[in-house]
Amino acid sequence: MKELLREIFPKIMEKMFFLVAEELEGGTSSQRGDYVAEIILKGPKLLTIRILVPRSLGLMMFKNLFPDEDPEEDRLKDMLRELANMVGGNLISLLGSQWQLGLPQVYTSIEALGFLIGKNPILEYDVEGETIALYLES
Amino acid sequence: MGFNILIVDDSSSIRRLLKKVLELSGIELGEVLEASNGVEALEVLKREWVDFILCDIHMPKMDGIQFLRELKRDEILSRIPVIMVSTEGREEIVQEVKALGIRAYVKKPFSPEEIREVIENLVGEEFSKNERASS
Repeated sequence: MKELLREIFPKIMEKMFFLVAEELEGGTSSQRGDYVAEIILKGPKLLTIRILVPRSLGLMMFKNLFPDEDPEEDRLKDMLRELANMVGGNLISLLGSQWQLGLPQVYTSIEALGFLIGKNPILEYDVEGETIALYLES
Repeated sequence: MGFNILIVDDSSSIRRLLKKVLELSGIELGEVLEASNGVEALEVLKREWVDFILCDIHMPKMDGIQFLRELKRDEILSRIPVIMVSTEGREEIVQEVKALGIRAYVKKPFSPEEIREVIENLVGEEFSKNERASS
C-alpha cells in the first residue's frame, strides 16, 4: 500500500498543484499541520488515509490552483477534500473492483491532530520547505 | 450564441477549475451551469438546455453512473454529449460509463491542457456536425 501511495501522491501534487513533493527518507515525525484531509476506502478491509497539511502549504496549493481567488476557509477545505478524493480514487484504481471510495472529509486544528496522536506517518514529503504527511490506518 | 455547458461535481474546487479552463479555452461560451450531484444536474436540465456536460463519477445522492443512466432513459437528454472527469481509473468502471455513451473520459488529476484539448475536440466535432446539418 505504501508503494502505491508513493507512486500516486507526488503525481497528484505535480499535475494538479504544480508542486514537487520530495519524499523525506526516514521521515520527521514532526506532526505539524493544521488540516487533516481524510478518505475512507471500503473493501476486504476498511482503510483510512489521512493527509496532514500545514495551512501555509494549503495556501500555496490554493494559490497555484486559483491564482485569482481569495483563499477563503471553505474553499481551502474543499480543495483539500479533493486532494484526499484524488489520492483515494487513484489508489482504488490500482487496488481493483472490490474496493469502494468513501466521501472525503477535512478536519482542522485539535480535532485533526487528535486522530494522529501516537501514530506515525507512512510517508512524508517536503514541498517547498513544508512537510506534508500521509497516514494509513486499517 | 455560445455553448451552454453543465459541470457536475461535488467539489466546488473542481467546478471552479473546469469553469476557468473553459473560460481560457477560446471556446465561445454561453452559460456555464453547475450542479454538485446527479439529482441537482437533472433539476438543471429540466429548465435549461446545455450543449454538453462535464461530469464526475463519485458524488453523493446520485453518482455519475446513475446520472448517465437517467440521461439515457430520456430521448432528448440522451443526445447531450458527456465528458466524464473522475479519479476512477478501474477498467470495468471506465468501460461501464463508455457503454453508457460518454464522448470522452478524463482522469483526475488532469492538467488544464489535457482537459482543454478534450473539450476543444468535442466542440470541434459538434460544430462540424451542426455545420453539416445546416448545409
